[in-house]
Amino acid sequence: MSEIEDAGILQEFREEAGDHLATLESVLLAMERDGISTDDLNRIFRSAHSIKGAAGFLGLTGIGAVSHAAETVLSLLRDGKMTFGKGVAASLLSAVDVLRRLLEAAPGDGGVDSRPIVGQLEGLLDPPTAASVMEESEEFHELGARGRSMSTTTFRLRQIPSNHRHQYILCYTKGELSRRQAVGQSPVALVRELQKLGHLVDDKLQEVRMGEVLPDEAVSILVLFSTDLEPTHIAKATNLPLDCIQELDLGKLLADIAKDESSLLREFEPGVPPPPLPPKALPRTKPQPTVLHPDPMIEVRPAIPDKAGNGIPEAPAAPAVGTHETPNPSATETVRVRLDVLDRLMRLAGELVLVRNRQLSRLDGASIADRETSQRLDQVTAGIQDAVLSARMQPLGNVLSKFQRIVRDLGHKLQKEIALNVEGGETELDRTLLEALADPLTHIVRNCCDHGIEKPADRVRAGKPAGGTVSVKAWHEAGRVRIRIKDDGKGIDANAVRAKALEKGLRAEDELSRMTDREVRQLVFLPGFSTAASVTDLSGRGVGMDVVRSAIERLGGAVTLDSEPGSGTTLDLQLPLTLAIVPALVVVSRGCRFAIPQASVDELVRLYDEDVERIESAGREDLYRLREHLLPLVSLGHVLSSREPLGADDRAAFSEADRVARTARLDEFRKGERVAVSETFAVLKAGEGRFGLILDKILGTEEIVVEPLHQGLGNPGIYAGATVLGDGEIALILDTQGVCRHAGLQPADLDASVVGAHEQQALGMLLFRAGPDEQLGLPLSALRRVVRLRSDEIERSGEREYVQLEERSVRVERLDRHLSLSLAPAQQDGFLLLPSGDDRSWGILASALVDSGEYRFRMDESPEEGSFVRGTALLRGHRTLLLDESRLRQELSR
Amino acid sequence: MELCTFRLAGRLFGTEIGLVKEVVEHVNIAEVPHAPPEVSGIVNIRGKLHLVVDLRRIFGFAPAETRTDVRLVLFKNAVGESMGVQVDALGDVISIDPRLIEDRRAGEIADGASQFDERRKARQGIALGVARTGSGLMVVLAPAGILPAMREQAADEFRH
Repeated sequence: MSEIEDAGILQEFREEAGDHLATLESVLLAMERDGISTDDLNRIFRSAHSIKGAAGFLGLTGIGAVSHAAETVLSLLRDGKMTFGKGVAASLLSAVDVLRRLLEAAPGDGGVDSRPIVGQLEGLLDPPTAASVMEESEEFHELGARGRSMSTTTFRLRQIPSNHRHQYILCYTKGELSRRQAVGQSPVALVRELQKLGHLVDDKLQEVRMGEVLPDEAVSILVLFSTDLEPTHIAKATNLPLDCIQELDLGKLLADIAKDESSLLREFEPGVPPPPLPPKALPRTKPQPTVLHPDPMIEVRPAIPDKAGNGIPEAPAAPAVGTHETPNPSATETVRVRLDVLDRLMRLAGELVLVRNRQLSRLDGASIADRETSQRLDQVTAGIQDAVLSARMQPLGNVLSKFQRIVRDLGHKLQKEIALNVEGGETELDRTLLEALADPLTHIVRNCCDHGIEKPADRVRAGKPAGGTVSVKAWHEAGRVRIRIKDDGKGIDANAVRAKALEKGLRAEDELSRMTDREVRQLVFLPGFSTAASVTDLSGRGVGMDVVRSAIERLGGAVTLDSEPGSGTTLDLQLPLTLAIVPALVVVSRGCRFAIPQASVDELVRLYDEDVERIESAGREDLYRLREHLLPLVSLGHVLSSREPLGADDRAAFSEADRVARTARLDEFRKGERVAVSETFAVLKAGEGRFGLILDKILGTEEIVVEPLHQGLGNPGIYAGATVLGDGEIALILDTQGVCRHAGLQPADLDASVVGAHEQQALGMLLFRAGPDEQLGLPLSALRRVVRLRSDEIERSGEREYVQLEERSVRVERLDRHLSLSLAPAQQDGFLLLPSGDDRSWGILASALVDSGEYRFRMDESPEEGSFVRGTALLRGHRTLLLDESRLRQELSR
Repeated sequence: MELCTFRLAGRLFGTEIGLVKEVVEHVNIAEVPHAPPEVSGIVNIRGKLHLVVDLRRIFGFAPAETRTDVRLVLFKNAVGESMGVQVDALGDVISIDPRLIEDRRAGEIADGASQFDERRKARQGIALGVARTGSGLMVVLAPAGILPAMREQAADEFRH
């Protein structure tokens, strides 16, 4: 079979060869680091051998030539005829890269020239070795009876394991191959089967006379096969008719060849050290006429370890990460499953759940036998669901395994010595999540190498070992995946970050000086913090860290950074186990069901009876004071009622209507016409902030399978998808950020510092005056900066006043318009207080600054001062109105 | 040409049977707030979500009284991914000569310089033409035009 007739066969080969290449790469990297071992060499020799074997069967000459050259080098290494140095490792790794490219381009060569790498590999051999290998591979032996005879070389015969007592020529006619194909045994699978039974020494397409049209039976592939299976068993084992099997008597020939080559393949005689051998030669890699390439080895390992359903190499790569490999530790039998089959299985399992639920709901009055059957159905269904879900899980090692190579290559490029330690490569997560995680993780590891680890000389000067270490550790914790990436580099200098943030205009100077070093370091996650050009000036990392953070957050995860200047940086990632299945709160509104992913839900608040009045209507929108923070509220029903985003008027109208309805219900309750009144809302995350969503009814929590919305729905911004619930009903999945946006709410920052009502605490405050009389106070954390303002800089536009600041128009807010204060003279120089946070559109006008500093005080509530004042306190000897910053923000940021 | 026929708003419709995946009855349509008005909602057919389109809205027929028993004609994926239309009643499968389908689009486009040009054009993409059958005039649908027509209407809505 010299041509590839079926794209499916090629794909199968691609996957299998991809696995072998992953093994080759990870073992080579491990050997480069830790030195060679016979086990490892045997393992990767088999990998190269298998690729070559199947490539020959499929007529892929480029792949055959490169893998053959690599195999030869490996066999010489294994036999102790070559030493394993940096050059050898680099050439073999390049060969892996070339093979990957060829594999992608197959059946063509995609313009990849295989000759340079073959030459490079051959060039590794010293001339006498090369000559003797060549001699051996040009020494042909004609085997078998006429008509069904084939020739092979000494080199190949030498590879026959000494414990194989029988050799055969197997004849596969084209018709036979087609029949096998029809029942699902592709040539790739056939080669694999044969390798399990013995050793495939050589194969070739039997010559046919040119120009003659032959029936299928007349074209055949001959396979020289070595095994310890007796002639009586071979027919059964290979499932071939007897007349297609020809027994050979090679005893004498093999004995002659093996005279000085007693134990070549140590995998069959474990523990026997390699005897010193005379130099042998490299076979010429150009294809022999009519002889196809393969001479794959027996594979005696338990099974090809790839996890069901992933299509990505698993076991050989996963445990390989950073540790010295042992062949396939789990030894679990695995098969490949196509992804679409797995997805279909997943859907069917979901349907089965629905069927089960329907069945269980009909059990009233059923007989005991029916009940038992249904219970069994229940158990089996749950089992199937679990199994299918676990089949989607893949070890993180699939992603981590490629980091060894990245770190090695980067180290070479940057002239740094960097070692990568990986722990927990076996930690599993859902495949969709794994795919999405690959890029941000790569980014982080690259950053560690690029910006974290210093050059060897600098490290030695700092009293550290010359070689740096990047470690990646993964583990499961509390139903989530944790990944910690740590380097022992120079760390992040907080002052450098401060300078950079100031230079980029991301934060004001006083704001930066108030932040702790740890807080400052988190600024590297800000968009625009650094560019590739400027980051090298900075001690630390920061290239595109905003991209990393947003990618992780999109996956429902979180990332934090910690750094000790001089000793390194640690990044902590937290991720859900799966994206496809998320725990969600299921609620009802307007008769429809909605699911809110638990990751977006902070808490649920239920108010009973009189407490429902704690929802303040405020004439504009509903607010609730949650632990000293004002949380804006909106009812889900109102959000759903209009396709258009809600405006201020809508919110005011809804809020008023709700207030009237609430009061009416409360009145009924007070009169005893109602047993209870309650109101429930969920505190939801919208970016960094929080808002409350008033819900009609909460059904409970459920693990939901997220499905994308149909595109015919025109992408309404409030949904993140849809799902089928356990009872078969559909629920729409809410996107909390979208809901908040649609409702036009300004989410509250619950982490902001608060003036405690009754406790004494130190708080940084700015004391200032607006009118001549009152002293006002604002927490420093609420302010970004304070600028001096001349009255002639203020431009008027109707009732509003503006100044030009930071190249934009900033609205000047006079507090006497919002609360009852003495009037400030209109024409007076003063200061503009600019709020912290993202909103740069307004500032508060102060006529004079009194003081700023840390104050300890006791706040008294004074509702008579209006809603913008939290209370009053005695500061610097004056009664001071403490402004409610979140209320101000709510009011002024619209 | 074999057609699957159904009734909607008192009219007879037909669609090529090769385009129909299946016909389902007695399912719950889940309403999707904020969806375009032409969408009735989504349904769960054996674990897979399907979009249900309200042809009445697209053709401008009077809205139906709320019905409890829903009948859907679901189309194959070649027509549009996981999609179907709501119908009032299902009819027989009939066989007609494709040459008997009158293409009325040409005429309508010629005399249609009205302000509803965009919508009309979109609607025309959904009907292949009309055919006379034993039970009266039948509109022959081109279901592949449904999703594009909805996009057109959304854009139209945006413009006005």
